[in-house]
Amino acid sequence: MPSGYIPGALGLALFVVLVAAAKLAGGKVRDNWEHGIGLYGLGLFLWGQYSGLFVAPREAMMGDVGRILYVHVPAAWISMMAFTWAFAGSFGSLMLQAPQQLPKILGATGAGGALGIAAAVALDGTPRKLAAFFGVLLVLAFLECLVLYLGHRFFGWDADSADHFAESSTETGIVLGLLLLFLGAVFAKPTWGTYWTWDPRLTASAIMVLTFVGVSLLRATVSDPDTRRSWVSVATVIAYINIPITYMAVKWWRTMHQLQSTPNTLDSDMTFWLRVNAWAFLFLAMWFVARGWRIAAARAAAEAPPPLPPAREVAR
Amino acid sequence: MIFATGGVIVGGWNFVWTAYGATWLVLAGYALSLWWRGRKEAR
Repeated sequence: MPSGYIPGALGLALFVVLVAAAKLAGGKVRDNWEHGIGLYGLGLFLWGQYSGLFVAPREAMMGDVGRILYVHVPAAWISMMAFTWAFAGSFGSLMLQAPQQLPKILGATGAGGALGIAAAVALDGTPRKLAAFFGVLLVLAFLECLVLYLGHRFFGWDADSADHFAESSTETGIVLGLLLLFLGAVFAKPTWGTYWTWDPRLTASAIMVLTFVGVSLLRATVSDPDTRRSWVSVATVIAYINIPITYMAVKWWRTMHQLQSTPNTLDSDMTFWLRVNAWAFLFLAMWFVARGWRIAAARAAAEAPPPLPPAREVAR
Repeated sequence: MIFATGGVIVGGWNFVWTAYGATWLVLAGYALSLWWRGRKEAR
């Protein structure tokens, strides 16, 4: 089988080309570039779904029921990915409230991250793990701030646009998360004999979706745009704490749900079709988020109060 | 119809079709909702 990374690499290259074309060409290309990535995702989706149903081999123990893997696992991965985008958008919204501070934050997080990694290399045992954890965290913060800085400088991102991105990503994550829970129940019945059990992974997944539903409800209940943006951003950052817990639940608490499969534990054909479907879900999710981002921005523009009259007219 | 022989699950296509059908329905429904809301905001 060819590498399952090829469809993803092609899609990501297409994404870069489309974004560059949108920036350079403007006009209709700027307003519709995401349809290209959506169509690519749809093509991969049709291919991946047909192959998951009729081409991929039967799972050794689960038989044909194992084919649910090709929708259940991508839904899980990409819902977590969408919540990660929501976190990035909300963190970005908080950072972009003072964009002039970004170069200083970049310097601090970059230096801190390098120090943490250097300490992790030099130390042993628990101090090494702690240094590595905080070093990686700071490097990730540095990378996010770098993206924000470039986005602010070249694409005009501000706190509002980052918040609209977070809103759209949260919505996409909830849709995929609810789908994930349903698919998990359908998968569980023939394999575990029950639709639901209070397994740590299942419980953490349900909490993950419900927490982000709560974030969306918070967004719907606060009327002042600035207060709403700040509160929702903080709530999203807090809600995100559960994502690594959900991911690691199968390792930390071993009960019903299996450990994550790897290419070492999965047939190479199954790995390939799983990756095709995962890339399809990813590119479709990118289309969902981009469209939702535009809708959120358009709604905010429509809700904004009319501009004040010029100062001279007020004086008269 | 589903049963297990020798620890291997046999059958269960109804669960497979339910899972795939729900996936198609949810993704298509969400795409349509975005398309419809986009048109509404554009107006």
